[in-house]
This record gives sequence, structure tokens and C-alpha cells, in this order.
Amino acid sequence: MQTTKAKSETSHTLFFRVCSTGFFGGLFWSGIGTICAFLNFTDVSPATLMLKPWLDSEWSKGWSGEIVSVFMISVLSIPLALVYYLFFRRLTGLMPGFLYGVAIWLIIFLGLSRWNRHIPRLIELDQNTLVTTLCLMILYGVFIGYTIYYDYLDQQFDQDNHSSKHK
Amino acid sequence: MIKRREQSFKLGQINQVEAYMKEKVGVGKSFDLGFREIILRKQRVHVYYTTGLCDASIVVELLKVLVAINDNEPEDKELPAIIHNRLVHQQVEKTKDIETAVTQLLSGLIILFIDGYNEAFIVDVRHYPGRNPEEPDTERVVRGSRDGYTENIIENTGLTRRRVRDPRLRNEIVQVGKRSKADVCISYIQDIADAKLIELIKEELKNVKSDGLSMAEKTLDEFIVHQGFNPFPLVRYTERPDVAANHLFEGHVLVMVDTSPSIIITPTTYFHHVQHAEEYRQSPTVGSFIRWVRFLGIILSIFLLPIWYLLSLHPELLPETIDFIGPKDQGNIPLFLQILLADIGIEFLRMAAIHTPTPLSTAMGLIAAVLIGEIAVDVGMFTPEVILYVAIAAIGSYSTPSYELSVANKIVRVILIIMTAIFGLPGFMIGSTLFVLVLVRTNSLNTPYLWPLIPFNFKALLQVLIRYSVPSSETRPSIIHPKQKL
Repeated sequence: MQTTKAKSETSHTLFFRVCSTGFFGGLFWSGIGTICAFLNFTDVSPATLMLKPWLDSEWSKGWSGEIVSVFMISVLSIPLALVYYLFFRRLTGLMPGFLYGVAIWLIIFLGLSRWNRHIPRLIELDQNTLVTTLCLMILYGVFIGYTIYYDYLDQQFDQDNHSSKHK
Repeated sequence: MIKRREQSFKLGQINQVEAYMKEKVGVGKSFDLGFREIILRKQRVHVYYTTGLCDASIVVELLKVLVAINDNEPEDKELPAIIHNRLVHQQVEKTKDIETAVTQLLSGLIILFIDGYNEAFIVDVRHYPGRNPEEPDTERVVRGSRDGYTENIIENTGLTRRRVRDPRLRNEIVQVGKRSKADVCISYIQDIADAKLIELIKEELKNVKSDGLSMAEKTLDEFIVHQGFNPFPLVRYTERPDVAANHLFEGHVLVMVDTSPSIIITPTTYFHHVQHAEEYRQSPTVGSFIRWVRFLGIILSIFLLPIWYLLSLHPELLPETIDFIGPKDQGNIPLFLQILLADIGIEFLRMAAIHTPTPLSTAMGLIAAVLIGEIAVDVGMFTPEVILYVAIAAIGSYSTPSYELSVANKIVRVILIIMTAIFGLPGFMIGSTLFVLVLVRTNSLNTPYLWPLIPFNFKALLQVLIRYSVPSSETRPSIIHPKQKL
């Protein structure tokens, strides 16, 4: 009885941890993306992806638009983290997260760009934008992937300890 | 491991012991090894000692009492038992093995051999030359304890024990090194520290194959954490007993090496190197403020120069709001070379400052300031902006609490500048990404180096970003896997 309760408790906290990983991963890396966009390292800023496709107003072009977009990305990043948790949490090392980042990047610039003309296509990106966005996406993917893998490992470790104590 | 030679004689054969000591240990040849024969009850007793390491006054006291045996003791008892009883010291041991006895002799203990008795007595009369505890130069605080570890491992465990009177504090001692046989002490609190980590460290210590630990803790840590060519410090050092005690309470394991005042704190992450005792001597708000300024300094020390260099290479990247940045006139030497030369110049200064005796260092500072600040610009070697940014980056690295980390960061900075020079913006971005990925990949004793950023842990990251007041931060960091979390 006690073990099952403890188990549901840990998976409960694990769910929250995955969500917070997603949220803060989005916040942190899109924040850095905003700085990169400010320094003109990339033409694609968080607002380009989040607000421009469906909104054309004055406020969304300045800093306020960027800040709102950063928060939108943070929220959207929660389901991305959950998807990673559901399918890839058992994969070890950095490579899975790395590839996850590359995959999201490809989906944005190959897939979503077809659907909305405001998101630039892969062939339209200049070299700087391409490298910067790809690097940020890779770091984001590693952040999500490695954290979830590590938390998962930690939870397994805790459970092992727990069950061995009660045996 | 070297094979132990079989001992071909017993310790009671005192002539053979004497021959062994002369031949193998060099008593009589090495002037710091001494030997004294006394006759007790018509039996020969040999005393061996190391002059530099034992306390002569205690040895004289012991000898006085021993010689008095001839006058005071009734004849009917066995001599070895009487001697054991009369060795008036709290630390007396017996051994049957000559090699153990010799190791102890060379550690500063005295050994006694009695003719016809097959055990040797070892008395701990060590007195090591050393200094008193002083405030460590690298970890000064404005207020608070001026205590610091010394070169003496016994005193160091004492300094720790004064702060942790927990009966569960364990100080385990092992000897490492084929020739130096250096004392290494592993300290931890038994019911907090992770048993697996302790096992791991003991295992690594067992596997050390080295003649000696001449550079003490530095030599040892390269064996423990398998440093390789990784420039980043994989363990944290401290010379402050209060910092050490604090880490013990959190569940860390400490490793002390005799002859060095720096002790090793394991496991360590990147963010352990950016904290300083001073933050905990101020109120939490001030502590957090100091910490943020320090973080800013560290970030600037890595990224400021490469970004500035990138922006001056490609002025079109500059946002309009800060377009005053960037040199109007590139100067006579390429910017890339200017930056590298100025950086190397500062490195010259730093190295010179370490070796220069104090009376000369003021003069050196003056020369350096005038030369680099004024004349180099006037002559046309440097543009003033280069000097400004190189100086900010240098001061940023000096504000890094861990000296080892600041040097590693400097190397990263130079690599980023070189990559920027060759590949421009892609070089900078890819370089920075690789820098983060390398840090994520790094492991120190099974602990991810960039924790709590990647892998991300919100609570722990807040603890890094904000210096909480002590009563509200009574949870132990989860990365250490403490047995008790609260």
C-alpha cells in the first residue's frame, strides 16, 4: 500500500518536473534567442514565429511583442517536453536531445513555413540566421532531452532504493 | 603493486635489525635518522627516530622513564611488559613487521626494538614543522572566521571536527603513493553522505599508481576525477574550514591530503565554482546582489570580447540603439591580433605578479599601467576600445571565485575569438554551442557538471541564483543523493 502511494507520488512530481522543464527550457532559450535577434544574429525572432503569422499590429513589433512571444513559446514548450517524456525518455546520452532539437527546427522551417508564409522557408534563410537558430534549437533539445532523461533515471533510482528498503 | 619481500629475520634478533636499518634505511648515512642504544636490565634496547619530525622534549621524557626502570622495577617481571607499561604516552602500538615500523619511523614516530622480543613498539611523538592557521589568501572575507587549513592533516581534521561535533563524522585515513606514502583522509558524515560516492572515491584512491603525491591534492584529484585535457576544474578546493563544514552538512565528501592546505570537495558542478563564502557572511539580499554581479562578471569574461570583436567585424549587425560601439579607426594592426596581444599582455602581468616580490610589484604595476594604458595607444599599437574591453574581460575573470575556473574560462574566450576570426558569426555561434555541449557532457564522479542548468532543476537553480537565508534553505541539494533530504 505504502509503496504504491509513494510510486504515484513520485510520478506525480515527475509530471510536474517535466512541465517545468518544458516551460523554463522555452523561457531560457527563447530569451537568449531574443538577445540574438536584438544583435541581428538572426532575422527570425520569437515574435516572427509566434505573433507575426496571425497578427499585424503596432505593439507586436517592438519589445512587448517579443516578451509576449517568449512566454507563448514557454507555454508551447510544455507539450514538446511531454512528447519527449512519452516517447524518448529511455534514450541515454546527449544525442537524442540533440536530434530532437534538430527535428523541431526542421519541422518549423520545412513544415510550418509551408503552412504560413510569414515563417521563412529553409532555403530563404541566410547563413547567419540558419546557424543561430539551429544552434539554439540544438541547445534547447539537449536541455529538454538530457533533463528528462536524468529525472527519469533519478526516479528509477529512488524507486529502487525505496523498494529495496521495504523488502 | 610491488611484491612485499618476505622478512627473513624476527624483530627480536636485534643485530639483524640493526644491519637492516643500516643497509636498507640508511641509518648512519642519512643524518636525519638517529639511533640510540640503552641497556635496560642487562638487555639491549634500540631506539630509532627521525630528527626533523619528532618532538625531542617528549623523547627525552620517555627515555628518562625508561632508564628509571633499572632503578625502580622489581626483578621478577618480563622486560617487554614493563617497557610497554612504562612508555608514558597515549599512542603506543606494537608491530611484528619491519616495513610498517620503518614507514612509521619515517613519518616521525619513534620505534623501539628489544633484544629477544619479537615485536617493536611504535610511539607517536610526531611534531611536524608547520605554520599556524592563517586566513587563506584566495578566500578572504570581510567579517568572520580567519581560520584556514594548514599543511598538517592532523590539525586540519581538528579544525573540521571543531565545527562538526557530530559523532557520525568519519575521518578515514589511507596511505597513497608507492614511495611518498602520503596520508589521505576521506571525511564525510555517515548518515548523510551517499554511500556509493564514498565507495567510488575509495575505489579510485586504491587505483592510484604513483610514486608520490608531490603536488598533494592536485596530483590526487587528477587520479580521482580523470581530468585528461579538460581545462575545467572538476573538483572544488577550499582552504576554509567553515566552507568545508558547510559542505559536509550538505552531504559532500571531503578529501584531504597531508602537506597541503587545500582540501577537495566532491562532487562538484560548474556552479559550485561561482560561489564564495563572502555571500554567506552578508545578509541574503546583499549576498544575492553580490552573486549576480559576480555572475555578470563571469559571463562577460567569456562572451564580451568575442561578441565585441564580432560586432566590430560586422558593423551591420549592430542594433541602431548601440551603434556607437566598434572602433572608428581599425588601427595599424588587425583587431584580432590586437585583442590577442592585449590578452597575452594581461596574462604576462598576472604571471609576473605571482613571481614578483611585493616591494617590486608596485613598480611593476606602474610600468604596466603606463605602458599598456598610454603608450601602446599613443604609438598606435592598440585602439583604446580594445584595451577597454580586454580590461573588462580581465577584471571579470578576476571576480571569479575559483581561480581554476577563471583560467579555464579564459581559454574558452580565446578559442571563441579565434573561431570568430576565422568563421565570423557562425564560428561564434557554433563555438558557444560546442562550449555548452562539452560542459553538459562533462561528468565529475557521476555528477553532471552543468547541473542544475542542464539537467534542469528549478529549485536547485533558484538556490544558485538567489542566496536564501539559512533558515529557509534547509534542504540538501539532490545531486549529492543525500540519505536525509532535510
